[in-house]
This record gives sequence, structure tokens and C-alpha cells, in this order.
Amino acid sequence: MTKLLKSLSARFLFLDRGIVPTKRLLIGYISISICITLFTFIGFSWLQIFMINGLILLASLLDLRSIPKRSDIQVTRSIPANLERGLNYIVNLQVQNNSNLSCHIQLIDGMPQSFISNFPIEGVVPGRGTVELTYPIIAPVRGKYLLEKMFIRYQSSLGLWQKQMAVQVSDAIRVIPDLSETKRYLEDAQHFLMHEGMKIRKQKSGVGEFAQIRNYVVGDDPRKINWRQTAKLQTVMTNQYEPEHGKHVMILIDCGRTMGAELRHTNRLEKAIEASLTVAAAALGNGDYVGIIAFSKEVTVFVPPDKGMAQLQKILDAVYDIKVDAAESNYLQAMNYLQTVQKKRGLILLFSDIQAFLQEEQTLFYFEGIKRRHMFMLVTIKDELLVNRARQDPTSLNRAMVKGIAQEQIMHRKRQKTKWEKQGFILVEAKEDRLATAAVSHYIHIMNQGLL
Amino acid sequence: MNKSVKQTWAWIVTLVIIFGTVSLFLGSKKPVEYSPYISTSPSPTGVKAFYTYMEEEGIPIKRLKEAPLSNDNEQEKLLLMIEPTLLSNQEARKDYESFVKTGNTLVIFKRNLEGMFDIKTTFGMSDEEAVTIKDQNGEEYKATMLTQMRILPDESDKVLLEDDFGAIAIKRNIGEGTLIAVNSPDWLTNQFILENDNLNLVFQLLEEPQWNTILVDEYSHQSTKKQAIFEVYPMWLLVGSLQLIIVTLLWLLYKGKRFGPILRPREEMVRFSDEHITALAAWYQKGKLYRDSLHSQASYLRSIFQEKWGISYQKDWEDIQEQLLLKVSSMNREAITSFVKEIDTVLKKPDISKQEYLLWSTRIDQLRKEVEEG
Repeated sequence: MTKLLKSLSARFLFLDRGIVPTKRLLIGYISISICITLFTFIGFSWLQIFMINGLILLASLLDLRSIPKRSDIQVTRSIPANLERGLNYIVNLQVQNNSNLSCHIQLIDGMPQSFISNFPIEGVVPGRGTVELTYPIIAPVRGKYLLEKMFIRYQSSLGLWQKQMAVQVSDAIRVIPDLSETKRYLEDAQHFLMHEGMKIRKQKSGVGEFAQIRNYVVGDDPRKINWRQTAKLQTVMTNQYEPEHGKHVMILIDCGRTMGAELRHTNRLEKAIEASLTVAAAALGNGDYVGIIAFSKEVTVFVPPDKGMAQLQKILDAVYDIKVDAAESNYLQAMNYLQTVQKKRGLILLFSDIQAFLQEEQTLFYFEGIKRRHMFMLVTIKDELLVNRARQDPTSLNRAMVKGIAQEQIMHRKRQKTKWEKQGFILVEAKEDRLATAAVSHYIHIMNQGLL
Repeated sequence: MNKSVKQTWAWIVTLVIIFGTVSLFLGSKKPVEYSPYISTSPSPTGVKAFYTYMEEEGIPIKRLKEAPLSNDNEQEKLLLMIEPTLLSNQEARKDYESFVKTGNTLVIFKRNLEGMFDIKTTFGMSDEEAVTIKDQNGEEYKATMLTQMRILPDESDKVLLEDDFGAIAIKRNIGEGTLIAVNSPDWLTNQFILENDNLNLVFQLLEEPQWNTILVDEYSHQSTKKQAIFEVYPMWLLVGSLQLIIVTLLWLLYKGKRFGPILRPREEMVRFSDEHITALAAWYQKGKLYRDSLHSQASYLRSIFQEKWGISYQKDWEDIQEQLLLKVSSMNREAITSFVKEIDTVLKKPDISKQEYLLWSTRIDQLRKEVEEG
């Protein structure tokens, strides 16, 4: 019933269509009105005034005859199916005019409200011609979106009245996390980790799989000299080893309440997703098995571990639209789930907030069990706001109080951290823009050291 | 459509019809409203009785719906105005004046005659509704009197009726015609016409001048409302507003037609990671826990002393004085000594005032700045 009423009302109210006067007509009419008012001093009758008004309006409506029909205007849109969050993209529109009349066109694309763009875009479409219009677009919120309508207004060259319509141009787009860091890693890992490079090189000697035989260089361990090959080739050759492949890496992303906290550019969850994708890319590139779990109150996303670069796409498809949950995250449930799905020993990377994680006393006890089976690493973003609060000048009572609390929190956190680290957990705290590099370098460090 | 749906529709239609007819009957009983002193009004305030009586008696009587025409050559007409509004329109007033001047008679029944044809009035109070009136021959009549005004006759005026308080009806010659002014329109109303000697008095007054037709003036009853707008405002203003209305309609269409998707106002929600510390701070502030807050600030300072300068966290304040003297450069010797001494006493105090708290918070912060920021 309501649907019927809606479509009826849409018909009567000329939903998304109709004719609209232009600015030019309005200005013209205002000047004509002033003239008519002045004419009354000469002596005009009411009949004459009504006639003049009516005739002018009718004459202006004749302009509609020189505007193309609605069915003559056709629009197609080309937009990338996957948009990375916060990056600039260009959308192309092809406007085709099947009539002989040229027209001036104004266009608003029915983008989701969160998208940032610059509408309306304008252009002139010649008769029997096609014109290409472009506009930039930034999608700041991840998720799946359906673009449906395109809103168009167009007017003749005289331009007194505009015709309006909405065309159905459907496109499904996905706004995925910002992958620029992952791409940078895949392009040149060494450069990406430039500032952490020392750690990559550090390798525990004599562990890992045999990789190749190469010429001996000064500084190589003499125990690794391959004497058989040296004798054969008459030059000193040495064996080279590399870390083992095929380890299991499980990435856990916390989507609980505290992950929604705002950072300088975006929130914690965004950074966590981007960093976890970079780690996944690094591990997959290394030939390891990578799986992912996203959880808040309960586990929402699970991708079982697998290897090969195709897995990265699978992970991306699974996590691109996860959102911050209003609920507190339930670590115990997530760990239980992890234990049931991950039987093999592996590296567990938990992206979370240190405050929420350390708050629960019972987690430490529980994690003891996890530690025995897996290698556990907590990756968090440094809370710069807290540090700033601890440093603010105590100019007022409230500021002094906040300062005191913040300092207490920092000390509490430090104590908790030492407690956990004493138990053999790895806690990584990184600044927001260095989260991905820190996570990757720790992963590489662990692999190189053969700690798994 | 199944049976039950059909039945429901049938019931709805019947109910609507019943409701419609009932409301039609109930709604149509609303009484018609008449304004007072209208010759077509049968209400107690109307004068239809008088008009109908005259009509049935065969006396030529007509309703006049426009201002009398001054160029009307026919003479000896009697124009009866019953409680007219004051003539605000200059032209209409002139029309009436020239109507009289050309040899016709104008009879005005009006409670307050002040301002009509320069007649002056005075107050004459009487407590009773009916008063005794004398005519020019000295005969007495009893008549209804609802007004408290009496006419002040000019020297040239002839007083037709009067009572103890003053003149009630006068006759004045204007040009070739006559004006008769009476201050009691109620004699003619349906309610009072048959009471006392009202009707007699009216007929006596109407016999006074010469006439062949009676015109009952309705123009002055209706004029104020209907024609005011067109007469009061000048043409250019009216035309200007018409044009303004048209332009406004066009502008509304130009501005108001939605172009683009429907945007719903929404609140962006942003969370900050200092929510819990601000909440805790508010709690501390409410509980006036200055001492606790100061303690945590001091111990934070000690912890960074240990981290950055290697001064033990466990030692008492007094014991680290020597180490501080070596490290701190922003304060002189006395300042450091007094700081160490005083902070010890302040921290041991059971109660700290707000001013003390703020002062010490600032002092601790000075040292913290030197340690952390150099």
C-alpha cells in the first residue's frame, strides 16, 4: 500500500523530473516586472497587465521546444570497481545527444553521501555528438556501495528553462582499505623497511633451509664452507641458508569499541587493517600461510590460512567492509576460536588497543595457554593523545586533573607492559604512520631468527 | 480479491456514506450570520420588518447598493440611512452631499451622529431604556432610547423631537434638499419597532419632508470591506506586488526543485582515545581528590627521573637532592633545596587545598619539562 502511494506521489510531485527556470529567466522577469510597474503610471488596465504577464510566460515556454527530448540524452559512467579509501580517483562520464539540438548540461552523480566530490559538473553537448565529462572523487569510508541514479539538468542555447531528469546508471563499487603501503612493500621491500633494515639482516646462523651455494666472502662463517664444492671448483664456496618457508601466520584484527578512536588522519581500525594487509602481503610473498580473523564481541570474519598471492585478494575481500563495533571486544572468545581453527604452531599477530587489552587481568592467565602453542605478538598504535595530555600545562583545575590521570595511566601501562613482556609476550607499540613497517619488520625478525 | 477483503471494503464504503450524510445534516444547522441594520436581515438587529411592511403597503421603496449619483435628475427622493459607517471616502461623501443639495431628502438614523454632515453631539444620560419624548407641537411619546448621545442643534436647525436631555431629531436644509438626523436607529429594528411609540415616531419623521420614493441605503454597510483594497492602495503598488508574487513563484521553483540525491542530515561520530581519562579526571575533580592526583604526578616525575637521569625511584625526596643539584639547570640551588623540602611536606599532608594543588602541579611540571623536553 505504502509502496503504491509512494509511486503515486512520485508521479504527481514530478520526482526527479520537471522543468525549472534558469537564472537568466529570473533576472529577465525581474526587469520586465519593473517595467510593467512603471507602465502603470501611464495607465494600464488589469486585463492588460494579466495579458502581458501571460504572454511573456508563454513565450518563454517556447524555449522548451529547442531543448532535446529526455530520451535523446544518454549517459554512461566508467568508474573503477575498487576504490581505495581516501585516494583520489577520476570518474568518466560519456554524455551522448541523439537529437539535432545542442544543449548545455549540468550533472550530479548520485554518489553515497560520504563521498567527496565537486558537483554539479557542466558541459556543452553538441547536436548528434558525444561529450566526455570527468570529475574527481574521494571515498573516505570503506564499504560496499551501489550507485544508481544520475541527475541531469539541461537547457537550450537560449537558456530560459531547464529540463530535469534522473537516469538509472547502476554501478556497484567497493571502497577497500588504502593499499599504498602494501604496494610499496611489494615493489621494494628493502626500501620500504629502510629505517628498520638492520633487523632484517640479522639472522641466526646455521638455521633455516639450505638455499644455495655461493662464493665465500670475508666474514662468512668458516663452518659453513662447502668443502666438496671448494675442491671441485678450486675456489672457496660456502653454503647459504634462508629462513624456513611454509610457516603459519594468523592475523587477528580487533574491531571493538576502542579501535574507533580517532588518530591524526583516520581511526585505529583503518590503520590496523592496512598494516595487517601489508603483513599478509609480506608473509605470502615469503611463502608462508596467512589467515585472518576479525572480531569484536564475537568473531565476524575468518579466512583460513593458505599460501600464494591469491590469498591476499581473499583476505581483502573478507575484511574490506568490517566496521568498528560499539561493543567491547571479547578477547577470550576470539582466542578460543583461534585455538579451534589453528592447530598448527604459528605466529599470532593481534592488532588491538593496548588499553583495552591490558585491562583484563584474566587475559594474562589465559594467554599463558596460547603462548605454549603459538608465538604471540600484540601490535598497537601509540596513544599520542594520552602523551599530549600528560604533557599539557596545568593552567586550570580540570587540565591539571586530566594531566595527573594521564600520567598515572602511562605509568600503569608501562608496569603492565613489563609484566607481559616478562611472561614472554611481544608487545609492539608504533606510531600511527609506522604501524605497517613495525609489524612487518617484527615479522621478518621472528622469521629470520627462526623463532617459530 | 477474496471475499473477506471485499466485505471489508463494502463496510468501509457504507460507513463513509453514513458518516457523510450524518455530518451533512448536523453541519447544515449552522445559523446564518447577519450584520445589524441590514434591510434583508430577519434577526432582532435587522430592519427587514420595516422594509417588508413598507413594501406591502405599496409605498415605493428600494435598496440602494451604490453611492447616490449626483447627476441623477430625478428629485424628491428620500434616502434612508440606518446606522451607516462614517464615510471615509471623500468622493462618496461628496456624492451624498450633492444628492441632498439637488433637492432630495436624506434621513439618517445613527446612534452617534458626530461627524456626519457636521452635526455636533453632546452626552445625555438616561438610566431607563424608554424615555418620554416631546415633538415640536408639545405632544409626548414614549420611545426606546439606547444611545447616550444627544444632538447639539445649530441655530438654523429645526428640532423635531427632544427629551429632557437634549435634541433627538433635527431637520436641516441643505441647498434645495433636507437632512433629517435622528440619533435612535433602534426604533426601526425588528426587535423594537413595535415597542412603545417607536413606529409612530418614525412615521411622523418620514411625513416631515416631501418624497415620492424611499431608498434604503445599503452602500454604507458594505463598502468598507469589499472595495477597500483597490481603493486604498495605489495601482502601481498593487501591480508591483502582483509582479513580485509571480517572480517569487518562479524563484521558488528555481530554488526549491531538488537536484541531486536526497541527503539525510547525519551526525558524524568521532571517538577520541582520551575519553576514559577525561571521565576519570571529572570524577577526581568532583571528589576533590587533589592529594591522589598530586601523588600520581609526583611519582610520574620520579619515574622519568629514573628513566632519563638514573635517579632511583625508591629513594626519598631528601636523598635525591644532591643528584638533582647536579642535573637540574633551570633552577638555582636554593630553589631546588626548597622544592625538595616542600614537596615532601606537601605529599605527606592529609589535605591539600585547590590553590596548593594547582601551584604544585605547575612546579612539578616545570621539572618534568626539563627532564622530558630538555
